[in-house]
Amino acid sequence: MSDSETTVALEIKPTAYQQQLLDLLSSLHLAGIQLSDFSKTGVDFDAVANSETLPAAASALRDNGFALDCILGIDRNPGLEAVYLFRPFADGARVRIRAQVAPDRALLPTITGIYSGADWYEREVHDMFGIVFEGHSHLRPLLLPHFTNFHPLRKNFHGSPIVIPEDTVEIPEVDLQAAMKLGQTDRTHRDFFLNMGPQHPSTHGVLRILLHVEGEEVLGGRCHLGYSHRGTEKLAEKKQYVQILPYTDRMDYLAPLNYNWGYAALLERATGIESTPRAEAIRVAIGELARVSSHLVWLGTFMLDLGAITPFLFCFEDRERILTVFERATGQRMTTSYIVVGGVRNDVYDGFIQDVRDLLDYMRKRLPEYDRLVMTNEIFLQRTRGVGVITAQQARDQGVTGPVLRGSGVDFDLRRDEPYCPLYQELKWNVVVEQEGDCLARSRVRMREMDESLNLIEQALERIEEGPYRAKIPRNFKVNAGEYYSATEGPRGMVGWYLVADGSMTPYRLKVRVPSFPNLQVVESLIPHSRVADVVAILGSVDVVIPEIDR
Amino acid sequence: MSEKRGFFKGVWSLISGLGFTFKTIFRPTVTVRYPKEKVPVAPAFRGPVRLITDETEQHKCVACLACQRICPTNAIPVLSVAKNELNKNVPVDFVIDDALCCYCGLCVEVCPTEALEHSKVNDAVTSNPVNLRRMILQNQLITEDNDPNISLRRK
Amino acid sequence: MSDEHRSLPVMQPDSGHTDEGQIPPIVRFLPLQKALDLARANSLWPLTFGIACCAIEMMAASASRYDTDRFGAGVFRNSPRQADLMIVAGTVNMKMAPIIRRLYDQMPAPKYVIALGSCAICGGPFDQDENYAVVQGVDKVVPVDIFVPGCPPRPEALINAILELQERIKSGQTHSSRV
Repeated sequence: MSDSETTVALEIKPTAYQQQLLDLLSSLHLAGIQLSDFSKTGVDFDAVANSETLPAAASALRDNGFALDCILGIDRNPGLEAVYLFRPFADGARVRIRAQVAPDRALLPTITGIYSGADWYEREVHDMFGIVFEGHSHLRPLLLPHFTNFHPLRKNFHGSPIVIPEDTVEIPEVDLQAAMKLGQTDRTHRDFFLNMGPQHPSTHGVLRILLHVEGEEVLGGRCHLGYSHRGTEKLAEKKQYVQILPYTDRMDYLAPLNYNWGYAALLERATGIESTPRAEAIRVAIGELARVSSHLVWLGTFMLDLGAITPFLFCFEDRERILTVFERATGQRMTTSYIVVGGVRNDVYDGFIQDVRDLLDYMRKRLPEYDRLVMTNEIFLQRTRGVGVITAQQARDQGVTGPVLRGSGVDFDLRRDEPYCPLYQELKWNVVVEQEGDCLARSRVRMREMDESLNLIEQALERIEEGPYRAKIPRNFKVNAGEYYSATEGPRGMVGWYLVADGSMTPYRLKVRVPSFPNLQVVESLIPHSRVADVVAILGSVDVVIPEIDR
Repeated sequence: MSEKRGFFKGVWSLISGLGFTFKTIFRPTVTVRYPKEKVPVAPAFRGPVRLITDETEQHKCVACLACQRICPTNAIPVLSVAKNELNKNVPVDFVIDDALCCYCGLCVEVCPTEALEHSKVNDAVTSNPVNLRRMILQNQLITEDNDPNISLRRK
Repeated sequence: MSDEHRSLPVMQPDSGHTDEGQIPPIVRFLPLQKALDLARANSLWPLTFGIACCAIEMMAASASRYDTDRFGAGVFRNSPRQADLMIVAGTVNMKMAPIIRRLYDQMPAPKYVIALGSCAICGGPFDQDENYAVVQGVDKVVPVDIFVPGCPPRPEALINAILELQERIKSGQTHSSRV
């Protein structure tokens, strides 16, 4: 490609590693290869693919250790675009590949054969934009009801009347086999389909898993999402940047502060505003508290799924103590809307540091008790050891992040590997990794992560220095036209924000790459040949939040 | 043999777990005895929005509509403006819909005259969502006294 | 939000669906009725049914700090056939609404519904012009007895709602007891 070599020669001098990747990308017949400034856009390499070169490019990236971050659609009006984001776990180099299609003939080849994690992303893009992925084995609506005939995120769509269907049977019996991707020979005379959810105590919300079982053995299962789909991404296109903040709380209600932080980090990257040192310390302290509170809810509900009621009562009381601090500091228990562009919304109250120190002392006594009560309990060990093993390669293909990934032996934490807050570089802490990849390893990662978070909070409290808590910025600021990506580490994994700005006060497109989405997708490949009770254990150990997935 | 060991280990972890639970009996009670005692609400708590009024029922609202414009959820459906005798803008009708409100506090933050505040009502319920459209010029709050259908309970 | 957007063609709870509990009894025995209402009020069994954020506050209300067991309403049932109180905690969307109706139909009468939070009352923050998914209030799907505003409401608001519902059951002012 002659034109690509001219565009590569930018003012940014590539490092040896970047040059290596540039050579790789150049060999893939991609057009428009560019090196872009990571600190400004959140992406290192840009490339444009078409339907011929896309599968080969994805395949080559997979062979070079890249994981699939996310696939998203953008309506360029006219013209649709699918954006593929890849990232290796070892080095920070995000590759963005665009593929443009015409709206009337929106066809792209699927990459599910290369990355199994692309399955749901492609279905979501098909739902929202109507891009058809040729070769996808099961291109049914994922988030929208089966009867919808619109593509909500296209720019020519402006809301629709709400129709409540009379029939609740979404999948008729004849379609079940297709829904489960079964051939005629896969059915035995003793098997049947079992609906788990949407109203089920252990699906943590309104997730529906259609299980294909024979007796107690699960032969396979498919997740059905969208029972909590609220169209946040469409609403965000009509809201000013400052007005989107409350909606970020309501995506992941277990750790709203980490979502606030992710959104603030995105806008700080896009506008170039820097937050103040005092705000950074407050963010680390309160963000890690949110992580602890989220993991406590996980512990309580996971134990509830496995049949232990006591830890639920203990964990929620501990969480109430954290929420009391949140309420005093931010004004709300759960929907905090606290971390904003340039800092935090209001200064912490006078006794904040003392309150958090008391909380740390209390939690340091509590966590060993949980270790004794839960993590060494023989019944717990037998329910979780060797159940639902995710290998490192599987995790990479599926795009899994967070404690689930670290439980599979991959040493990857955005707080360290893609720093969005300078304090994480300076403070002393460890990334928790376990090798086994089963439910027990994931649980151990979370338990030890709580310890690490307490250490981080203690150090961050000492860094809360005098100074402004918020940089001076206009309330209704504009973001320069461009595309920005920013990823932060939430309690469940990578929370990625992709913003297409057109220079106005509202985003042109805002996509949230949520961690639970790929984390839940991996469950589908874990449940074959397990027991029904193991499905509950796997689902609990992965720790999903359904409204975050459905948005 | 290993099954036997597993059984005894299971029994032992059951006993140690029960011992942990038993110890909790001697710990201080954590339950708040609501409704006999009020649940403490933090000073920063963001409850339903209301106008700040002084002793003479005067408020500082200048009807600049900034709160209506910033509201992410259109929870201020009615805010109509008139001129008073000094030729200044005053609100004549100011409705906040608590059913739409997401209690984010942007309206309080944006108010140039600091005329709005968050009330500390934390346990309001109603039997009719119409009651949630509050006319805050009349300083309405959703309390049980305001709802004729819901004053059943003995205080 | 314009008004015509609100009054969209939706399934009305009154039309087409009949509640099993609304068949008038032939003989009414008042003292027994009172005793039954008293028993019902003090042993409300909620359905474990969390949709979104408010579900976490519902769990917090049933956990040790707030403890709805003190009012006999802490036995969360996983099956609608064993429950008589449905707490709709979260956003109801197009895909979810028929399932809520089915769960409500599966509950034995008399049955009561609490709409917890803005989303369940009217769609809340998601009731906007560009909305294509969220139903504007669960009262379009099932009859609701108590509405709890808040986003999300605090656990004490839910407890207050349960107390209020108990009073209404005792005085016969719920949807189920209005025959």
